[in-house]
Amino acid sequence: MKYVRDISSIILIAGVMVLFNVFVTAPYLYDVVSGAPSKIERWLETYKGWSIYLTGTSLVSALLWYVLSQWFFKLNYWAKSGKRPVWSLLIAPPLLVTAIGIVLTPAAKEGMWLVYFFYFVSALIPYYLGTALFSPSSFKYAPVGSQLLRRWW
Amino acid sequence: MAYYAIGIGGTGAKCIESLIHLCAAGLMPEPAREQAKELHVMFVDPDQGNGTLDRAQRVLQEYSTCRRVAAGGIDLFKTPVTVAVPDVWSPFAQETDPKLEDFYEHNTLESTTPNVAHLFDVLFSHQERDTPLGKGFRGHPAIGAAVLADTVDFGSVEPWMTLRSKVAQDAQSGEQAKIILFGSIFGGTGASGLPTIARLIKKELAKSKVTANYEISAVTMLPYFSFEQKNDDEMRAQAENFLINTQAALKYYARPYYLDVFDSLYVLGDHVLSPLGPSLRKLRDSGDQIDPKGGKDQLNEPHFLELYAALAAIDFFKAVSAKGVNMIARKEKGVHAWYDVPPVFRRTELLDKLDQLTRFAFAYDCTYFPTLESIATRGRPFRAPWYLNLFEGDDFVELSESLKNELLKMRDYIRDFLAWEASLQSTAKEVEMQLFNINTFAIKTTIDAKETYVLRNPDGFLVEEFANLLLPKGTQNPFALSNLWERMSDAKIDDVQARGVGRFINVLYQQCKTERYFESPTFGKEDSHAQ
Repeated sequence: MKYVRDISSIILIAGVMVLFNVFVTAPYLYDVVSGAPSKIERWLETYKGWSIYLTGTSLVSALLWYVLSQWFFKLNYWAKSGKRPVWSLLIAPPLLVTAIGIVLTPAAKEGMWLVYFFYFVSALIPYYLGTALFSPSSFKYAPVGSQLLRRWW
Repeated sequence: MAYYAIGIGGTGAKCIESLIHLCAAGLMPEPAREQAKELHVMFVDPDQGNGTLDRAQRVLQEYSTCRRVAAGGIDLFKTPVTVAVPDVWSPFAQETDPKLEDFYEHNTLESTTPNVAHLFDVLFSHQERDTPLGKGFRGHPAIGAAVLADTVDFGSVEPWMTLRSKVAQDAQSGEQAKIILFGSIFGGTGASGLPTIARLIKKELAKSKVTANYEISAVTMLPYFSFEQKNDDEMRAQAENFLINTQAALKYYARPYYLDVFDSLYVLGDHVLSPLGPSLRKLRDSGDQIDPKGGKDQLNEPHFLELYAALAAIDFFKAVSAKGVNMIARKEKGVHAWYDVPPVFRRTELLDKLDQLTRFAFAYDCTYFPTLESIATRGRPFRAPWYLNLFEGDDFVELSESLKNELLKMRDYIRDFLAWEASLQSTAKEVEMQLFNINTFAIKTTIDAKETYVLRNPDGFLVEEFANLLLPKGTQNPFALSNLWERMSDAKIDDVQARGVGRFINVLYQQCKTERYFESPTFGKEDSHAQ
């Protein structure tokens, strides 16, 4: 069924993000970050932990958006279409967790801007791609830019 | 083969209106749009200002406009309908205040042929000679027959000339032409016009050496409505005379010679005369309430028997050659349901197509048209994925222009269609009608102490009942309209003939298809027809 495909795809995107962080960005940051308050290996574990929390929050938001728009929002009344504000609001939890992560990650002397960048990527990409590509049909163009991405389905 | 439908009088116009709605639903015989045969329509009425005729003309014009939308190979509006020019023929086209004695130049007859004048005086009373006939033959078919016999001219008067040449062309090319006339048997225009015009057509075709490859039929309506009588001395149709007039007319038809002109004859009536009369036209979106008094708004509401008349026409168009005498009757005296409708189609086909068109009309009026209006004025098209796919895809549509033209005409038509259904469900009295679930899109109101139904404003439609617009109700699905939006958002169009706005119409119509009547546990098991 369509929603099985969509939900699986959203989870898959989050899974890919986690793997990307663990096997690509973490080794990259090992070479870039210096002056961490603890040993770099231990510091990277903190980084990986937060990136997984961010990706997890992003996944929860994306799944919540999907559940609401597939089973909760009904379009018997055309004026209730759109729901872009709801979609925009659901970005808030990942952003909030990102802020917390930024505050609670011990600052290193160099490379922190990259760390923060990857935190934002971990928080936003799964949510954005998951919703822009796999929102239910009635709301498939609610995510900004989804009309271009979903031109073919 | 082409089909020809002639509506005589107000009842004839109402029957034509019903036939046009069935054409819109794709119920004419040919299975596919490219095979659809043309339906040629004309009206005969001395009273060109009556509201019933006005409504039929309006529906015809809307149908023609909607049909021009390139909606591809769907059944919606599949039949090409051509309208005669002029669409309404009156024997008094050139007269401003026609009277019978002027028509026969009574004054001249008195001086030139007094015997003929005296015969004229014997046949027609002073009132019949002197009453203005601009509003019809006033329930006096003898007047109508005399006038029509003298004025129908296939040689020099339109639209008779074109009718004759088209029928002759069809017949001579080997295509069979089918001509059907609609009219009442108890009034003035229909009662006089039906046998007279049929006979004149047959005579004229014989003169043109056309004696085969055409058939003539008639749907003659027995009394089925009444109206409030005005008590004055003016000559007018009297409802209390309907039954006597009918008895006299049927005796006339029963004589063998008088039926020879018809290849088949459909006779319809109801044992209860439903009171009709002043009614509202459907409310437009502006919310204006039209004053029911006044000639233009003196409408007779559609009656379910006119649906039967339209079905009779389709039966005639479909039949190879009708034989024998067939009777139909209602199963239960106080109830009228779909199982009482004559089996012109596989029974599910009629309901499937009417249900599809009703759903289309409902969804278009309460959801899709308002959405398009909102997008045109406020933007934010992302709210409607189907809009972006169908209007801003490969075949870009200028929405603002379309909303003033094709989309608006479509809305006008579908509101007339819904109003017609509301009337069919509500006008028959002393019988429980089980045809349409009209409370979903119409509301009962009282005008001048008379109960009538008017269309709701689109935002007042009962959307949770979208799955049950025809009776009996099936499985409840309060989110059927929401499910339609979802299907529309994903729908792709394969029909290369659909272009512009027609792509949207094509997809919406197709997505409104239902075959629930196959699943109904009770439908199709009752059979009320007697042979």
